[in-house]
Amino acid sequence: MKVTIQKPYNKGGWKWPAGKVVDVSNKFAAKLKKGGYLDKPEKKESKKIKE
Amino acid sequence: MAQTTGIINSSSIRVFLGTTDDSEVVVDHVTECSISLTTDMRDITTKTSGGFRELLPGLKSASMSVSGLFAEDATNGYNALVAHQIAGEKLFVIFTNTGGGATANAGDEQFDIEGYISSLEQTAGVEDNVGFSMTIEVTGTVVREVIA
Repeated sequence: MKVTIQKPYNKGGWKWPAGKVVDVSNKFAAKLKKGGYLDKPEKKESKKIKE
Repeated sequence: MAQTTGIINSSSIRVFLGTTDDSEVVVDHVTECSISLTTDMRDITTKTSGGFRELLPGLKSASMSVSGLFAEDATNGYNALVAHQIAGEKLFVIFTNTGGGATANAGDEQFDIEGYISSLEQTAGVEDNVGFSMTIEVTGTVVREVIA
């Protein structure tokens, strides 16, 4: 299945930057998901300090 | 998903491979793929066989062939394959049915094998696509499993 790598992956002979779209086996997709490589990084909202 | 019904479109069959288990990536720009299982036969014919040969199954083996088009920037194409062959790396291979989409269809069956590239050829004619063809010889068990 096609997945978009959300954080750099450098394992098992593969070296992909974030944003790379790859077509992987179901088992590999599950492995990437478990490792958090398919989760979009949380956006840190800057808090506005009201004076 | 349920098992696919009816005759399957051959374009749905894809080959994924990598150098570690469960880290397989689709081989890019494939035009044809096949997998072949062979069972050697042991001849157990004797004088009491009534003039007809008798057999029992012996050694089982398998090989897989993949042909495709060459692209320099392929994620998992000829450049990666020839590097695996030169390094003598064991490959983990999934030969599966992705149905109409890019995802292996749960409920269908696939081959899950390990092997080494025994031949890899790059071809280049005149005003034609640069292509490649590869044979992988399977080592160990041939696993036929239901796609989860």
